[in-house]
Amino acid sequence: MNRKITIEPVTKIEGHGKVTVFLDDKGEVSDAHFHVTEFRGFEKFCEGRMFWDMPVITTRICGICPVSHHLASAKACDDLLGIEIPPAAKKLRELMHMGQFIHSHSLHFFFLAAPDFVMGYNSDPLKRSVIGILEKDPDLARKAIKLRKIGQTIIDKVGGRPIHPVTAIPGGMSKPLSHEDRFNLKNMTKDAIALSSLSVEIAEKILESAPISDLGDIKTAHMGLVKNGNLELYDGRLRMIDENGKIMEEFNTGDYLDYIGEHVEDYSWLKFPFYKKKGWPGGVYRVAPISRLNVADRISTPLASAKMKSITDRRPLQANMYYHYARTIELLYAAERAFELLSDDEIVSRDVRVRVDRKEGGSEGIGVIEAPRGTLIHHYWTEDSKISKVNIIVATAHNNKAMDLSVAGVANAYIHKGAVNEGILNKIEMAIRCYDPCLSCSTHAIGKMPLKVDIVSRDGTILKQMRKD
Amino acid sequence: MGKIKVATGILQGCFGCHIAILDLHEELLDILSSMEIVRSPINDVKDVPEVDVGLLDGSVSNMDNENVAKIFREKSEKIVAFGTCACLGGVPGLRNLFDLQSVLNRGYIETESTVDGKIPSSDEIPKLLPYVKALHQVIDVDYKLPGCPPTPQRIKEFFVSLLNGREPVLPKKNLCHECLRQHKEMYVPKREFITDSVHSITELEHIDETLCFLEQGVLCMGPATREGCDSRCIKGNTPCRGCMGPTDDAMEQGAKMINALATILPAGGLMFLEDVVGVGYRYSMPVSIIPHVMEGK
Repeated sequence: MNRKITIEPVTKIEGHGKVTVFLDDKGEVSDAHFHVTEFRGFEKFCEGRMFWDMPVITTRICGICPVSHHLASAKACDDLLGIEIPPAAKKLRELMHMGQFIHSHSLHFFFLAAPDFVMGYNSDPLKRSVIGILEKDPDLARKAIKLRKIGQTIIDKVGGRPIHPVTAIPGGMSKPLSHEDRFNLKNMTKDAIALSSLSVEIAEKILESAPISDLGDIKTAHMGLVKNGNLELYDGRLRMIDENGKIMEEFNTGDYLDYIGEHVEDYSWLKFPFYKKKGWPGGVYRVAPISRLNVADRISTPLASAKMKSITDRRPLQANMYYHYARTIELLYAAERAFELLSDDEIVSRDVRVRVDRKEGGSEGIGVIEAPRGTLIHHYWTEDSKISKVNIIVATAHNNKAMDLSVAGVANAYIHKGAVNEGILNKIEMAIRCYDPCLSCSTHAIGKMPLKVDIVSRDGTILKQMRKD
Repeated sequence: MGKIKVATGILQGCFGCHIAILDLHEELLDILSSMEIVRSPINDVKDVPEVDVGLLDGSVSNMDNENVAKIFREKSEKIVAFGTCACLGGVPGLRNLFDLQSVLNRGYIETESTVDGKIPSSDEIPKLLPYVKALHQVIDVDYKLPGCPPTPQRIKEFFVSLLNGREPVLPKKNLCHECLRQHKEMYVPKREFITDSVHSITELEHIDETLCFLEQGVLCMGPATREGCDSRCIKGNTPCRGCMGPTDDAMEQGAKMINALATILPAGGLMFLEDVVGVGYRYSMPVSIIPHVMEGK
């Protein structure tokens, strides 16, 4: 009898995502689906808006990484106007972006992932949160809060607000950075480098001690921005490598449609991007921390570069467990890069924008950036300055199929002949969490992640229910 | 006094309101000493315990959202519409300008990167409602805390009110009241109008950091918008876009804005306003009469 197992890591009360594992006649895993249950329709309702409002409308796609949408959108607007923004504006935008990486990566690592490791996988779920860490290791918890606060403060001072920033406008930035803010941020960023280094050390220990083979590891191609071969988060060209680490493509972001297609499945509101030349589903690839470290030849900042070298011989990194380590290396890079930018006197230049006219007639612009969760693409068409069409590929989408494959991989290890090992609940949760999917991450922040497994026969009868509260 | 029990949930939103709670940073720890978050957003429906306060952020856009809202109502002594999406529908409410089929067609068939598209239809994913709704259009709401997202300071004040058994109160005046920008001409009685057209800030030679945006010829939603956001966008040298929603005395935020503009623009000036709907109603479409007008039925 074919059976279907439904796992709802984000149960109905939330309704944003759940997992179904399919068993074949022999009770072995045949497939797994990670369902994204959320759809808002930005690609339609942005039609008719003025292009200069897009950087403050599209931030509302995500409250965790609004800076990514803000900047990708501003870049798309610059592109459709055909203008170059002043160097100081570029630096301010990149600085805002580094603030976001510090906030988002530390949120994920300390608030979501670390509780599992610090408190133990099988500890009381109520304690398995940053609140639990606070009781067990208050010093560490306060450091985590401090690090994330530094990130949000950078965004606030450069972007005008920590959540849904406003200062990146077509043509540059709406305001320069004050000398006072620069001085304060620079001091804070020194602390951020120290705290990020600590994060890397913790992640190293996790990597050394954790069993890394049973998290649904898969081998895929990878994609990410590079600039002259360096790890790059704000600008650059897109590079794709195959599963053995060989470069398949390196292209200008404006040509993304030649390389990236999106597949639609019935079971998810989130589409499935793929590498066009290999088609669907052969063209599956991944993005985000391990992918970025895989595609880049090197990192430009000293401390992060040294850490990257320690894993160079293991590339291309494929195991999901590397996500945490890679994420902390990026965290360190972001802190170092923020310090570099703040040390540059041009960061307080008053020359932060060029005046731009309306755009009569038709135009088109593309903005691409590395969001904390991977490559983000904004593509706008305008008619007399009004948006006529919008295409957006969000970061989590690129990993959509990989999450299915990872869940199937985990399920394979825990389900045989129809017998389901209870340990599967934890591992599926951890496998999904490696990808840090945007849709669920902040909800874990002050709580736990219960799972529900229904084992259902094809006629809909529930054969068994498992849950982890 | 025992700790008050709080459950928080997210309907359809961007999670920014929950991040705003975390942005209390160390102060959150103080609040948690007198408040217990017994249920985070991701708990199983059946487990929602009776709580003193249920905090819901996000708009109601699919059938799951509706169910969750109703369950929260049943279990909570007081329900808080937390953030602008819950209070007014928010940015996702702009979807109400279009019929659902055209929104789905764009997302899953017409988009340029989509290959062999189709509209997802599995029972595993919740069905979308034809229109996005604000929370009070689905369940009774006791308190509203607008803002996209509300500032951490305002969230703290709100929690402190609850902890002390006080009714939380919202600021009543419009944003111009707390905005620190100067006015040179607006309040001086004279015959000439202040500006002769409406610009985007990107068109200005110089964006004055101290002068009222309306006096610079830029549409700023301040006059039609509730204060209480610390005028963050304006301090960021960009005009207000109205995320706090209208004040209590204004039913329609967009109409209120047009009304305000009529006093400072020349007779024909309003014709320069582009995308009046997308600016005036960016955060409040589901609670305005506009979509029903467009429906024409």
